[in-house]
Amino acid sequence: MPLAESWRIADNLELTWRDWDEDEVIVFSQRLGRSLLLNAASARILTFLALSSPSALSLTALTEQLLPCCAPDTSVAEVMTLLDATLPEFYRIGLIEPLVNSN
Amino acid sequence: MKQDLLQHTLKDVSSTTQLSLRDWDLLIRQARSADLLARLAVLLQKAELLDTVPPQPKAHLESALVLAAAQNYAVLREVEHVQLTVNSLGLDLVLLKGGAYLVADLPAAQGRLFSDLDILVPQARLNEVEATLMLNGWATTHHDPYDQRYYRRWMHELPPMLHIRRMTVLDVHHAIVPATANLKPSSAALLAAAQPVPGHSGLRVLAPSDMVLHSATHLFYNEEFSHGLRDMSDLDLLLRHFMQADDFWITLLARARELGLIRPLHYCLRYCTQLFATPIPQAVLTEVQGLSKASAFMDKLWLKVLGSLHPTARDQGAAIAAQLLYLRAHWHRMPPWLLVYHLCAKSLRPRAKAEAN
Amino acid sequence: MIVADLALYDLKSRLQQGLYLRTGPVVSCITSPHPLLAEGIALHYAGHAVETDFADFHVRIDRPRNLRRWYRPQVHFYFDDTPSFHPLPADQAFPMLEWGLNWCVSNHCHQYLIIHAAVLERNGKTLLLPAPPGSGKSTLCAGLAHSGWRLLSDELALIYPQSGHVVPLPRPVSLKNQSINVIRQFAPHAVFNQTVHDTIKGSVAHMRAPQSALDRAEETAAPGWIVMPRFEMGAAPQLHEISRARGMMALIENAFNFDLHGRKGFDTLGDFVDQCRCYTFTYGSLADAIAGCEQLVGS
Repeated sequence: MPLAESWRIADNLELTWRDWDEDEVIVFSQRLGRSLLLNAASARILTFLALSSPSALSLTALTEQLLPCCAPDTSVAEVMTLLDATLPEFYRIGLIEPLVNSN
Repeated sequence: MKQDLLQHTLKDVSSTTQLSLRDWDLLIRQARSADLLARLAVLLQKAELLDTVPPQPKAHLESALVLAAAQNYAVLREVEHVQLTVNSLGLDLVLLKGGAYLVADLPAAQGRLFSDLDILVPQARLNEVEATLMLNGWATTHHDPYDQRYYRRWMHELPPMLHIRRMTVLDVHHAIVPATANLKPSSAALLAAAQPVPGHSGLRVLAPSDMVLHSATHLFYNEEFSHGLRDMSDLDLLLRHFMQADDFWITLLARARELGLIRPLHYCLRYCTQLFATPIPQAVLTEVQGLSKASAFMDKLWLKVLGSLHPTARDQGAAIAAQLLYLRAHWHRMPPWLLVYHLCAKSLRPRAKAEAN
Repeated sequence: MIVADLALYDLKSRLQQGLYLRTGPVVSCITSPHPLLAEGIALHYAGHAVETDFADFHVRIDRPRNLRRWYRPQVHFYFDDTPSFHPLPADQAFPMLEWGLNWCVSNHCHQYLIIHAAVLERNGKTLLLPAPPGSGKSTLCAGLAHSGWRLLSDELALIYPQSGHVVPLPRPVSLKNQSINVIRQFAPHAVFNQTVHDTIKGSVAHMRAPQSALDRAEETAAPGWIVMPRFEMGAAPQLHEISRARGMMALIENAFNFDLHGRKGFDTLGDFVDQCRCYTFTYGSLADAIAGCEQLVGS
């Protein structure tokens, strides 16, 4: 199933982060009552979405922001694969929502 | 020797400064068993007495506050979910009891422990509401056909609904007393007078008088007194808060007459005075007393049952009193022929089912 | 006064009325006419203080008032006169007391953040072993308690948010099946009661908490190490350091009441883990496990 065009952080998540300059990070949503262990890549995706909240980010914009954080030879296709794996999971948990028509 | 330390403390929270450790042992047990541990903690906090409590009992008060805060948060989230569903039908969500106290930020919400959420919907929209709730993840409980009939035909609510994913319980009422009762207060009147909650569009709570009358009717006409002292404490806090408005007593009395609820109001005011020394004006007490009679016998029954029900506080009489009041409650809720049917059906149901519950 | 100061008949008589027994910060008023319980308490709680006046919990272990009083006798656990749990065969009275006391704490002591973990102390720092049943944590805990580590608890790590320290709850260590023999051999001087068979967890025995656990029951301990143990027969010992994020996740997943503490709980655990080093540890023998933990102390 194709990925939605744009995504935004769900409302009122009350997110708190904890990180120790390591590869993994913990994020906690008081509203969802859930804690998540994230690897560096997923953490970055969620961070970029959180920073642009309440606006949504298009897949293109998200990819553009992620590329500089990846290894030098990472392709756009590889980033898209990463988003393909991560975004639906964040959606399932209730962290983010898709926007069908981005303005 | 039996001692209702809990009721005595709730009446005068400054009396805790005189308590020995042995007294605290009793008080904590009585409060926990009555689901009033957090309420006690909040009252002590407000009276700036929490720090005077010895460390061992204080730990239990702190624990209860943690639990109450977590439940408050959870209830507010649950209200949001229910509201989304009910609002989608073009209906405002009308909350009853604890949920209402919480969203309206009333003192009666403080230190209150919650189990279910109670809402009031117009009878004409009941089927629609039930169907939409089911589409959104709620399922009915009490699948036994007798239970289903009991709730739907004879009581004033749907069987409790359980949200499958969140495991929260919702009680959907369409009236505040059963359809079969001899009191018939108008739910349409209650709904019409329901007030919006500032900052929460689409959400309503009953008007102050109606909130008091509903709580009083629920306690004095229901068959379950296991939370009698807690319910009385809620009423005490509601009254103390609402009486700050000048016209509160006049409105309350008029509304009670209009809805035919003078008698439960009488019991409520009478026992609040006796249990908690709620500062109700004598003129008001005299007026309700004139309109409704409470015998010395009823007084004895109610006061036995409304106090702390912990074994250290109650005597033999309490169990008998509870039985008599149970019968009376049913008498008021059901016509005699229906009452006999209900009581027989209950006693004939297989034991296994009762144990499963 | 401690339990050992009471003659057995005196202890039994107190148990009829209610024995106020201290275990760290918790005092339990225990009532029971059951002789097995008196013997169990005399053995396992010999060094624990007897209190008066205030108990945090009032519990009773008693036979039911029905046929099961005599025929294939059972016992019930009552929390303040309310029966809790299913009844158990009467010979399981002591394990039932232990499980019941754990239940009291994990359900009513929300002033703490409570982690389902074994926890010990060395040099003022805690070694926390969060682990689901079957990971071997109880065996490891019992072994460590007899290898220079002070036992704080075998089941319940109580973190006090205001101090960020772990509060000791010295009680007997519960062991099952093969672990019982492993520890009997490892620590021949350890004190055990009679093994009870056919419980829901298999064969169960309790090992008395070492004296150091009691002597220093008022000493809380600071964060130190979080180790997730995994026993694998014959495996070479492998101690792997993991991220603090992973360590924190282990605490959250094994917490009894994290959901009640919300954001504050998250901050408390985060602050706790800030000061910890976190590991997974696979081992094939108790000796290897003890040696592995010794390594941590040096580093």
